[in-house]
Amino acid sequence: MKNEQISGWALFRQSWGGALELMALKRRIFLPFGIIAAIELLGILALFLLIQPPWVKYVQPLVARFWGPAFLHYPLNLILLMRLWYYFQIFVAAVLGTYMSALVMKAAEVFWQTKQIVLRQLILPLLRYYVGVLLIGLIVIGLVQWLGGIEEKILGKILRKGADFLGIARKDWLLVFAVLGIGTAGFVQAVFAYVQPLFLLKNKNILSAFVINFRYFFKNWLPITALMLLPLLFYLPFAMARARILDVMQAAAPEIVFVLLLGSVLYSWVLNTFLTVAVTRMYLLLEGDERGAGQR
Amino acid sequence: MKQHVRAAITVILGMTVCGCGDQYINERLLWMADRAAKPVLAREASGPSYLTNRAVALYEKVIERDKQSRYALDARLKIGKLYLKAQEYERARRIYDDVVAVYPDNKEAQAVALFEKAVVYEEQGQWAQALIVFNEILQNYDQTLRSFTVPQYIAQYYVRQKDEPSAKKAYALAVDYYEKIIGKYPNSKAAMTAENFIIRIYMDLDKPAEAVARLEKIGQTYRLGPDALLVLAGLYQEKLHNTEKARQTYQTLVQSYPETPAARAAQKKLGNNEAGAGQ
Repeated sequence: MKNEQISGWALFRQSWGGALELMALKRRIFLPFGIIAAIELLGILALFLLIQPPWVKYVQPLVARFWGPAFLHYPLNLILLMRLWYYFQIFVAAVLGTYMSALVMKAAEVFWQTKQIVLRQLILPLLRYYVGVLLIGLIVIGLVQWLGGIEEKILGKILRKGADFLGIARKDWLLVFAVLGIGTAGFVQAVFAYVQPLFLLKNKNILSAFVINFRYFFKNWLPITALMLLPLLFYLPFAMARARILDVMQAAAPEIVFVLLLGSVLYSWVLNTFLTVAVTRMYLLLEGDERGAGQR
Repeated sequence: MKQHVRAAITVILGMTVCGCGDQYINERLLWMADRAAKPVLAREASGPSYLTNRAVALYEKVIERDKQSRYALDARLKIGKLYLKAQEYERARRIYDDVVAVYPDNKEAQAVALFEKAVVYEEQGQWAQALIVFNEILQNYDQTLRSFTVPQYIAQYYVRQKDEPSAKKAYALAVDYYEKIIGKYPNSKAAMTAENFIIRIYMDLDKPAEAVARLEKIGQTYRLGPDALLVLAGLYQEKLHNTEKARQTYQTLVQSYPETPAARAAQKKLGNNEAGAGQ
């Protein structure tokens, strides 16, 4: 690392500021994740149709096997929709999201070199990195899912302990674990934040990218963790509403699920764009590369 | 570009309209009506009439959409419950008579409606009238699920009334009725349900040894399900105080039906028993 003297706070401030500046100046940077958002919206619609007659007969055995037949009927079918959409979102994130992230990352790097945003010219050259970024994405997503599964098991055990375990009501445990889930996802992403920039912008092979990433992370864990976790605070209301969706549905209307899904799509769109640009900026600042942070 | 956007919007709207089909709308209306009816039915005494009327109006919307649908059937039965709660007995009975008339081919629905009609008579203090309706169910709807509950319900009525001789007689008649069903439809679902009710009656009468013997006998012919095994183990443990047989039955349940709620309950019982033995 050529530029180790930069303080954590400065790193955080400049990455955050740089990302906001780019997003304000060049709205086209929103386009790649905008495509993902459009696919996710269509996914909501397609999945909603899939669990309605006449197409529901094709998924009926599967739903009955894994969730129970009640989930094919209102209002539980909307909870099923939320669940199916979550899997769909993970699939899209792995297959397309990782590539779009690479596109935004490269476009951001080019912006800090030329003050121009190019996307179309980058699409084909970046295809050769597809397998690599997909693999990195799968590792990170897999890890988040694995840890999420462990948290779910712990939550299940706590809920089975009966009411008011450790003086916290059952419903509040759901909120605690919703926050924990968000925190875990953010932290895992922070731990692996530099793998993609190292692979994509410095042409490191995947193994070296992971190894160097850890060196970067351990030397600057606070700014990158803060960078990843702070924007996720805005997602907490969504996560909490999802954790206690039955109460929310009963208090408002079951169709609140659509509002939550729509909100998640829009929020993910902005958040992913912001985080990708900010991480790129932080990496370039750390790297001290003339192409990126040389102007500082 | 504009054409593409227009086409996309048309497709999305078309798909949404298709998605919000009959099932979705009916289930949604029913859910809204259930939500309105819940506080009315949950009260000890009958509540303000405007709440009942509001819930009834919502159920009527479901009926208006398709008078013969299963949603309309559900709505009618729930309107009957609301009227019963509001002590509007005549209207409640009329609703149940409607069900019998509107669903001539649905024996199960008819039996349910007649049962509820009998309950309305009971609530009104007209037990003799209720008995006439109950007997109608037993004679004409003997393979419906609801008909199985009738003999036990009658006996339990006498228990509630603290009329011991009548209760004893009713329980004996109930066992007799279920035995006849077993003889009439051997090796059928109806026979299994009747067996189940005989066991329930033995439990009502606090005759655990008979209940266990009956369950063991069924177990020799059929594979007992997780819930039946849990009941059997519970009887061994709590009523017959045969801890060894209880432990064996819990273990069979855990091994045969892992990952079922009954198996989890059995596992917990096994753990508790071991902890108890350790102390």
